[in-house]
Amino acid sequence: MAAKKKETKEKAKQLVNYSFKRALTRSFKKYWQLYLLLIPVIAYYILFKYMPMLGIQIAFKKYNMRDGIWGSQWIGFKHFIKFFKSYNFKTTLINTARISFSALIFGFPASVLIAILINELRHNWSKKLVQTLTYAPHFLSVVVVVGLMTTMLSPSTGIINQLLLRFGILNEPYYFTMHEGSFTPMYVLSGIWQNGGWGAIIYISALSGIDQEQYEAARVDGASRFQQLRYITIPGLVPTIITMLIINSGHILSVGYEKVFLMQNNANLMVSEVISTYVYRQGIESGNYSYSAAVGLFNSAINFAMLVIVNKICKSTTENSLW
Amino acid sequence: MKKFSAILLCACLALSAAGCGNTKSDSGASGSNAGTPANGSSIDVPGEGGSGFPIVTDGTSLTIMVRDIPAVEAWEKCTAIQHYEEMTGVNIEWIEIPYDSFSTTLTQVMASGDDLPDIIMKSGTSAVKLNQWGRDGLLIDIAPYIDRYMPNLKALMEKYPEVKRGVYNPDGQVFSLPEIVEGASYIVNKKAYWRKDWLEKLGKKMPTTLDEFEDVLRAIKTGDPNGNGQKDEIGVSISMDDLMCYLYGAFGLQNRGNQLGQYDVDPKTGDIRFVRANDSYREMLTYIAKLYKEGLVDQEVYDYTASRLASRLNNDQTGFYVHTAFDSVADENKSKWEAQTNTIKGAEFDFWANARNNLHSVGNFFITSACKNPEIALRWVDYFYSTEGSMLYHNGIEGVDWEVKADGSYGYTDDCLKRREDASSADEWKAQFSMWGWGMNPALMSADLEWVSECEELPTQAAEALIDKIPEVVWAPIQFTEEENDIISEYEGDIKKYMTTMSTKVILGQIELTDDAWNQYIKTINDMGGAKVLECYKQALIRAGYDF
Repeated sequence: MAAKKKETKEKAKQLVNYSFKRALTRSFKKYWQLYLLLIPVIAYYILFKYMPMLGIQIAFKKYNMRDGIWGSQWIGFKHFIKFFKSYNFKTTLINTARISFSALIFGFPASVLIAILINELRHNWSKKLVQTLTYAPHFLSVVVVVGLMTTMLSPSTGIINQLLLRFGILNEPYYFTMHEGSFTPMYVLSGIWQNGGWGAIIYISALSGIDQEQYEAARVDGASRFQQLRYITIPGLVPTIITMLIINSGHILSVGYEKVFLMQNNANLMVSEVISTYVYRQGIESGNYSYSAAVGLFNSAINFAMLVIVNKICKSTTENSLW
Repeated sequence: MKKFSAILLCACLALSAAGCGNTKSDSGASGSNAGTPANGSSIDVPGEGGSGFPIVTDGTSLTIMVRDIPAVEAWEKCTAIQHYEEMTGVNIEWIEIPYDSFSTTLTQVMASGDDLPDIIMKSGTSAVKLNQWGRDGLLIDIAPYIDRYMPNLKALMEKYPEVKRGVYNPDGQVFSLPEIVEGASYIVNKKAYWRKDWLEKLGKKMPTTLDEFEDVLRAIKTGDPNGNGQKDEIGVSISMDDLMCYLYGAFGLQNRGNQLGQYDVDPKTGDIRFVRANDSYREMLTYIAKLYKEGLVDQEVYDYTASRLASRLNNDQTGFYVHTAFDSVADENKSKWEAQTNTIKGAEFDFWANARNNLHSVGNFFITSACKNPEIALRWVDYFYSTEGSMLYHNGIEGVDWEVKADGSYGYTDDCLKRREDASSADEWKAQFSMWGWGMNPALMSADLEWVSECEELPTQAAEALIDKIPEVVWAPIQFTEEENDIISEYEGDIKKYMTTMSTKVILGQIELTDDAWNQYIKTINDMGGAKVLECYKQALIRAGYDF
């Protein structure tokens, strides 16, 4: 009996294997153009994403240029231990976490809000206008954005200080760029201004996917606009929100390097030195390649862990998850 | 048709992806093989012993990666270079890298290890990095060639032992060539200048003490010396670094000159210390914070840019200027200024800290392992350490750009001065006929012979008066062992960063310098590895022949 069962199982397995193979060949034959189009993407990932990963090994080596990546001597976790023990470990980690959490907490809902607001506009032309206006700053270079911000916040000539003085909110000009306390708000708010509209696009498209009949039915039942928002629009957005939240949490410790670097100055270094700028200083400026590779790898490991954890939480609390 | 276009599209995409990977190795082949015959040591040596021209007759070429100066149109168009190519017979292919991104680009080129140029010039790379690259086998050790191929540099090193100690690393290797300076205008590197007419109008004398300095600044700020009825004058508009350099002497800081500007000797114990972590520095911070609070220092001093300062200097908005040269003030305004020829006295100390050694810098010229004819390269550069070579390098061709005048002095020719009027800036004019532009030169620079901006009337006047007031011992750049290198590169950057941040906050008034805060500051520097770094510097300085 048992033997027979095993036999059938084996047979079934063979059958599945066989049919899978056949399906694959058939699909290849039928859609070969599509598979052909896939090749550049695969090549891209292998060349630019997987091949460089081989270089990660220098994080565990005492890299020198003469022996190259493969020939350098293995030294284990020495660089990691050095980083954990270093004076910078705590400050860079806390700074990175603070900046990216604030960016997520304030920036993430901002996009959703913009999408909902745009969706509530009555006229099609005003919708398009507002949408274009909100996502246009996305195409500005970070250098320009930081330059704009410095000019506008200047204590002597900046428009913001002039306005605050005019309305009596401040008695004397406030030197925004030179105070530790204003670094994170400046970073987050300018980020929302620049990327909020761009981030809203995905929600706007999700909103357009909601069945209009639901709204009609709600209206017939006498639902107010707010009730429609509460019971139709937001539930319709939740799957997209969850997906975006999980993806964003994977970047939780990778604060964009350029903007922080541009905004750094002598007065705010203690709150603005993040892992990515530290890696840049150590790697490119000081030439400590192994050490900066180790710090970067540590950063990526945390990001990966965050992604897995948040996905798990989302899976157990809601129906939505990445995998 | 549909299928065909799909294949075409796909092929294009695949090719473009592959293209990115290939371009680098392509340019690599054309870069390093650029016609360098591998004839090794069997070179044509007309003047045996390494002098005399031409150096080669077979048209050997070298590739030189050079830090580009914005005013330079193209290096091969510079007349001094063209002249020198004819003299030596060596063809130079210039790889020009933009000024601001030079060190990043250089680090990346060295890190990739292949596609190296023969020579890197005007680089100003630190000895720490050079030793690291040298030990990794990326650079050629110049030491064995010096005796035979570099008579001019050798003579200078014998004349100035400190130059020799700064050029050789502890293992007896030489990985880069220095810039060597002579004469007061270069030894005294920073000088101070005041608006003569403003001081007269305000009834003030040139400040000699800290109190007088404060008093003059206050008069400038409140007395409306530019006479436009508005209080738009700014006392201190220079960068914070320059202001500190101006004041260090009054507080007894940087008492070994400012080339190793972070370190000096504690006058009480005679031991090495951090310039920015002792009680004198605390006093100085308190003093500057007071100036800042009173508005005598530009409130946006930490957003300093050279162009903003230049516009203020020339628009009657500030009357105090500190710089090595005197070049931000426009020619037509220069007569309104005078040089400060005295020091600023403090409570205990009275000297001018802004001094450098004859060894101006190392790391200005080095040869990579890709170079097949290092002896040709070294003979090519050695000429610039001679008097004639230095003249060619800095002032162009004799008889064309400069001449010996009837009274025996040197000066530019009339033709050359006429070209100055046509050029839009002094930098652009100089770049047409000399390689001097913006320093970091592998050459001898002598104040008696050259008329770059540091040797103009006011800077020279200041330097000649202050040369007697500089510290007795001025530390030159020094060399470290591999272990010292490792320790310094691990700790020093972070310590400096911490010091700068804390100083900034004190000056801006965000932190009050209580005893607790100060002790915490000193303790943190120690926790960050301060003592280890100091010990490395001390050992290296002892090796370089300085006493403690």
